Amino acid sequence: MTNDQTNALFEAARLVRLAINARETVARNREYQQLLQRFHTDPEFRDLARTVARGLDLQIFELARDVGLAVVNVANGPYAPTLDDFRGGMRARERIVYGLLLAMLAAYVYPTRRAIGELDDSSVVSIELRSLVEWASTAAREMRQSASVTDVASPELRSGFEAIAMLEPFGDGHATLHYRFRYILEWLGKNGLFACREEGGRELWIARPHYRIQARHLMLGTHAALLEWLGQRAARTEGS
Amino acid sequence: MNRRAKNLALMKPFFDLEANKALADARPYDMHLLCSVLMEAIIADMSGSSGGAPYSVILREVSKIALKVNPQATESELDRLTSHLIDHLSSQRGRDHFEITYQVVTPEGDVTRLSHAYRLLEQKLSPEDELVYVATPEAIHIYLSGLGHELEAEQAANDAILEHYLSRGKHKEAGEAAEMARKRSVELRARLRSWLIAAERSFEEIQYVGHVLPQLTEMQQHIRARGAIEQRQIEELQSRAIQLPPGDEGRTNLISARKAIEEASHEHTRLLTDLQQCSRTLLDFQSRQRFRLGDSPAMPEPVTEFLHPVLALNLQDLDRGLPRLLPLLLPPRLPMLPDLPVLLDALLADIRVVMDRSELEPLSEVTEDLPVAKRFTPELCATVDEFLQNFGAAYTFSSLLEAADKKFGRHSPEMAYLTVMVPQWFENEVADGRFARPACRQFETAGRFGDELEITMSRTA
Repeated sequence: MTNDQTNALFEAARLVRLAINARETVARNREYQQLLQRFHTDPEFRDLARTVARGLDLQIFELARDVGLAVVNVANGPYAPTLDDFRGGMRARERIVYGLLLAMLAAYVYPTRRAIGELDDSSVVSIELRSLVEWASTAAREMRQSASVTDVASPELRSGFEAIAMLEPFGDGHATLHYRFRYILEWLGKNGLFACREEGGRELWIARPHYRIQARHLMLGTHAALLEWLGQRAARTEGS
Repeated sequence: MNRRAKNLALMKPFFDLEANKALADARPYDMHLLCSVLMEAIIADMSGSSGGAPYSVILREVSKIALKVNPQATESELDRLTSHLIDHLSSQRGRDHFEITYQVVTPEGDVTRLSHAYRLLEQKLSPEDELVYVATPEAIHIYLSGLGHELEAEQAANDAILEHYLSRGKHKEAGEAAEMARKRSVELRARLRSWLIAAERSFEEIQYVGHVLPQLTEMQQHIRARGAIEQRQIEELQSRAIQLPPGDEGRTNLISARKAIEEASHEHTRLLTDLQQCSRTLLDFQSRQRFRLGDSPAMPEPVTEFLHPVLALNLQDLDRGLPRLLPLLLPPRLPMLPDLPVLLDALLADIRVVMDRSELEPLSEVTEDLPVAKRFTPELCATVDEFLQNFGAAYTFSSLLEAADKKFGRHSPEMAYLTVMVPQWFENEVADGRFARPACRQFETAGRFGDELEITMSRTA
């Protein structure tokens, strides 16, 4: 192996290592910027980086040029989160409630296929936690009366929606919808998928482009029908 | 005409803001004016380093006008007004799109309906990871068209200049040459990095004098030559581009060529910076490695050269050194990547255990007799027989059980064998020699109860 090949391999691995951290930005890291530039202009280097990622059970997605790369697990990869990584010691009912809230969040942020946009779209969506909680509370109550939910949700999931409908939307303590959504958003923020900013006295949660990648995979996964059904409700609420 | 019809339809969100301003408690304000101020602020900041306008800039510009209309407006009212404008023009902050339906006249003279989905404002994260707002091409087009130029008159005058320039094709060739030079600079920067990596390992690898120094000189000449050419080309293209109206194809081509040359120029600047740093770093490596032995340092003696000095540290020094030592002691961990599909599957996994049973499982075609395990082994039977031989010729069942309880234990297999075997002596097989007759009373002993038996052993057994 020549010196140039060794260096290219080193830089390809270095790029994957930097891209794994979703919070890394090209503005803050000059090395990332340089490697990214090489990735975009050198086809051989690009293939090498993808091969290195594949060898690590990872897959590279190109975001907009000024954003960088997104790295996701391939199926059954070793980097997948466990339930303990998310929140330890959950009982079955609580686990299902958090799962449904995660799905409702994705559907609320991207209520339509058009809203989810393209992979290299650098525009972001921002939401207010209060509006999210209000929508989720109303939507969960409406699901009790909706017959079509049986098409997309098993009996366990329907009982999860009932549990959500019974939660107080706001208030002190942990037994509220607001607390649970905040927990989810803070976890996603800690892992680089969301950012929290204050604007005009309002707290905005911004879905980064990396979250778009994850949401696209969610909408193609096991619970795609449930997400589409939830998205229709979110879009209908918007239009009304 | 069709284009103007579409442009009028694109402006619907601005008209809606004005029409519904009472709902947003914004009656004193002209929403058209505020939108114009907002668009001005955003478009002006789009050329800056952040690539868009932050909320603070938009708020400042909108507040200037709003306070002239309503001097009593409070800070929270101004915030609410600005947020309302942004929420609407960004289609609920990116969650939605505007969609218009409009009619156009086809080349055949028919009227057909078209639809178009678009946004006016979009949100992006700046390089500093802050939320900024940008205007979409539709919004910029609407805003600039509203400046009221006499586009037709200027167009006629500039057509002649454009035709002359395009026929020469100079700007296209200049753009292509700049792109080649830019790629060359990218390649040269990669080469500089490779030298630095190799030199850090061993300076002898890079052949500094014979190979690297001449190439560093060549790079300097490349940067100097391109710098002069590109500066002249940028000025020429800029002066020609501003003479053409926005949206004109010729202007677009000129701007593209100018951007390519500017990017190349930036790349050369970055190359120059890397070149200067690389030269200094390589000289530094040369002086540091000149007297190096070339072999890796020997491992320390674990006890005397590592453990003893560490144990001799006081708590303060250990506290400082421990964060660096600890990662060396622990194995590397795989990072956790937020894989939402996997997480959602785990959270929504069915709580019931699924048993994959079928009552209609086919019977096996091959059967075999399984050996049945014997409850009482031959050895156990022999032990109990010996006990009975030595017990006597005549006794009751209860006394036998009491004796067996003492010898073998109440729950022993020998006891179980006795309680099964002895009642069978009712069979009264003569060859057996054992006779058991009911004693017409009950017994309860050794954890058992039942009909008492009187047992005799004949001499022939």
